[in-house]
Parts: sequence; structure tokens; C-alpha cells
Amino acid sequence: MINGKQNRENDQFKELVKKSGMEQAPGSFTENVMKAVQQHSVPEELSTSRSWYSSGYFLTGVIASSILVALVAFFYFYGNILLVKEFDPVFSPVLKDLYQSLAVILHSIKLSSTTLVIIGGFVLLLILDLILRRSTFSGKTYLTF
Amino acid sequence: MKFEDDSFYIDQVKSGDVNAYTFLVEKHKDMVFTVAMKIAGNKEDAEEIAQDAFVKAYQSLDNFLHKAKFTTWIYRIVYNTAISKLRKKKLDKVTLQPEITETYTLDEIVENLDYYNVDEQKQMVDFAMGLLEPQEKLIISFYYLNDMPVDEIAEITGLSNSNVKVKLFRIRNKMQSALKNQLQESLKKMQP
Repeated sequence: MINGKQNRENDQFKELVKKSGMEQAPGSFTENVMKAVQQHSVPEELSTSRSWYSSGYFLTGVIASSILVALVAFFYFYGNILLVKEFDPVFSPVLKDLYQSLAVILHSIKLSSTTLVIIGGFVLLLILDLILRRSTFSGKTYLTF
Repeated sequence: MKFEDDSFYIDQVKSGDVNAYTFLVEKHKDMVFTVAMKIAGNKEDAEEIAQDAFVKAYQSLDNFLHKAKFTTWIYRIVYNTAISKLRKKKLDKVTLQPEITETYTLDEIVENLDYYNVDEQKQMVDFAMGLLEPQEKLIISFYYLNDMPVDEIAEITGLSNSNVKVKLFRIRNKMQSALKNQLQESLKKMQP
């Protein structure tokens, strides 16, 4: 009985509210939305790509890594040049010490080819992750550690 | 115009076809605009709210995982956008306290409304709805205009099912009270 009364009232209210009716979106609504969608999406992509290529972090990283790799290679293959006493009588002992310290560090690092491959793969995965993240603009990492 | 399922267009947009979003907008624009209109109370704000909601939905489409219906999701965005806009503009100043009508029963209200023409009836119901709080406007629009089930309304508003039912009860009382007042005012104007 109570449910019946409630249902009837409910139906009456439905009729009442329906008198208010559905509204119709303006004629140019879809067009305006799509214009706004395109306006909003373009700057977002540009800003993301801008941060990727011109924020400076990437370039700085590349330059710093290149310098590090060049220095390591230089000392590894041509480090003996620092032992030449005629090079500079004042700085020669300093350079000699530096060379010896670097030589000790380099010789203490024993890397097998397997380790090198693992490290190389790891670096490659990091770079791929970075590229994927930037290209999809989602900011989420695909690699979980 | 016959539309495909929402997920069809969503997948197309996600795969890079921006124009597929046009169909989603076309499909849902009237209901989104209606909800925005009921909450905002004027066409200018409603258009802005509805447009913002569609743009926000597009921007977050990557996060849409098909767990909920697209409509539930977009209506939640509309609701949040509208509430945020109303807070900024402070449009929702008028509120009506619920009171039990004694002069007119619901039957009598419905009966008396029938003496007015369609436009006048619409005007009265719009006015009564306009006195509701934004969330109540949304609930009543979804429940009575869109025949949306209580659990879906609860999902959109973040309320519990029982809370939505309680609010529906209060909304009916408020509407009844507002309509009663309008009918009485109208009768006073007619009397010499």
C-alpha cells in the first residue's frame, strides 16, 4: 500500500519534472567543443615536446655523459702522457698522482662482457622508457623496478 | 543519426582519431547541456559548463578505462565543472528549506497545474527546480528526466545509495512546497 502510494507519487513527480523538459544544445555546440578540443590539445603537445627537446636537461645529460666517457677513454688509453716529467715541472707530480689514482680506480673495476651487456641493456631500456614516455605524453613509466 | 557504442568512439580517439570525438559530443550534447542548464539556470553558463566538461573529458580520455559507463563519467565531470563554476560565480544564493505542504496535496498540485498552458507549466516547474541546490538539481534531472538508476546517480555524485534516496525525498518536498507557493501566488493575482 505504502509502496503503491510512493510509486504513484514518483510517477507524478516524473510527469512534473518532464514538464520542465530536455534542453537542446545550441546549434554550433559540437563545432565549438571540437575547436576548443583542438586548441587545448595542441599547446599541451607542444609544451611537452618543448620540454623534451629544449628544456636543456636532455642536452646537458648528453654533453656530460660524452665528456665523462671521453675522459675515461682518454685516461684508459693515453694516461701515460701524464707521466712525462718535462710536461710541466710544477704540475707533473699532481698529474702523476691523478693518473695513479684514476689507474687504481679503473683497474679495480673488473667488468666481464656479461656485466657490460647487462649495463648496456639497462641504459638502453632507460632511454627507451624515456622516449616512450615523452612520445605518449602520459608521464607514466613503462618500466617498473 | 545512428550512433555506435561509446566505447567504439573512445577507442578511435585513443588511437589518434580526434574527429571521432565529434560523434561522442553529438551523441551526448543534449543531456549534458540539459544537466548544465538545470544546475546553472541560464544558457550562457550552461553552454560554458557543457563545453568545458567535454574538453576536460577529452583531455582525460586516456584515463578512462571502460570500468564505468562513459555517460556516468561525463556527467560526473559536468557536475564537478558546474559546482566549481557556481562556487566562483556564487550563483546558488537562493535556497529553499523543505516544508510539508498542507494546503495542496501532490494530486491537487498536478491537477491545478493542468489549468495552465504548457509554457506556464514549464515556467513554474523550472522556477521550482531553480530553487533547489545544484546537487539536488542534478539528482532530480538524472532521476526523472534521464530515468537513471539510484546507484548510477550515487556514483556520479559520490553519495551513498541511501543518501540519494533521502535527497530525492527532500527534493520532492521542496518542489512540492515551491509549486504550492507559485500556485497560490498565481491565484492571488487572478483574484480581483
